[in-house]
Amino acid sequence: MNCKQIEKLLSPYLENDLSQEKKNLVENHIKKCPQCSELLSYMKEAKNSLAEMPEIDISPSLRKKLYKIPKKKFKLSFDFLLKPALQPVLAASMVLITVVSLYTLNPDRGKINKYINQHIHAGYSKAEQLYAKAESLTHSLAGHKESILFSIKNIDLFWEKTIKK
Amino acid sequence: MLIDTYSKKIFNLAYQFTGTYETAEDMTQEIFIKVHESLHKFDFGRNFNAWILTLSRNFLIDHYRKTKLEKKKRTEYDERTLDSDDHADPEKEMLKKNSQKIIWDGLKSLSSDVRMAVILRDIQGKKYEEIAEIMSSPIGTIKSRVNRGRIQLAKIIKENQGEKNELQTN
Repeated sequence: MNCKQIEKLLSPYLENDLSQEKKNLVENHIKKCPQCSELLSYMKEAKNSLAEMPEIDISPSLRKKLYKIPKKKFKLSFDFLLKPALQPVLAASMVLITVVSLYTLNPDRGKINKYINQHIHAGYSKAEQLYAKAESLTHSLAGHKESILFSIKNIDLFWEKTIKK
Repeated sequence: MLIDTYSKKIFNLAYQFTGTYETAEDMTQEIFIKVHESLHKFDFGRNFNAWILTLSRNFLIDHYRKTKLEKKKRTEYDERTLDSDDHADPEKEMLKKNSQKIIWDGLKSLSSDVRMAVILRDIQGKKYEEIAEIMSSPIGTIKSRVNRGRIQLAKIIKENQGEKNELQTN
């Protein structure tokens, strides 16, 4: 094993996390290699120095500031509006709002109302005309009601005779 | 309760990571704001300690990447960070203090992920499994980061001692 390969095993060696075989490899290497042996001792020093760094207490002023946070910084979240599922609804709402604002804010709103009324009345009268036509057709067919019903009931017989001919 | 239990942990993580007392205080406040805003997203099946430390770690590394904290100087290693023992041998105490000073300053030369892994493992003494959860990385990656960090710090101590020896011979 060369020095680069041994370097990778130094931390597990320090933490006693190597198999006996690898441990022997490291120990045999550092006996012969002063660079790796020196590196290992400095690594041990670094590890020990880090472990001895104490936890420090927070200052009373920071504690005070932290206790103020929930009241001070609480915000109503509107993140749900960014959900992809709501996008078609938001798009439709935007179109509706645009149409409504174009109508309500238009200075010629009277003309628009008149135009809409005309079209509604035209549509209404067309519907009335159709209804009248349908009614007159019903009246004109009323005299032939029985013969029409008879024909419908015997339509199979009628088809059989037509096919035989 | 949240503040009593976690403020010290988060502040120390921020202080060890940024190396500056004032920045660590600011970061702790920012992290707590984030914790309050994200509490509703916490999955109760998860470990809360790991969740809060993951959030802190993400915040610190994001902030580090945005502001390039590594370019700023770490605070001079001072009495606040010194593990003082009144009964210890003064000479030993001095050596220990010097070594800790070098290491403390050397942490700034480690990349953010390596630095975080070293802090969690060697200063805070966490298990690799826990660090892997906090850093959302495989255990193998964490072990290799810790090893790289220790090697870098070892080389910093070596350089420093070399400089000191040169000064003494001059």
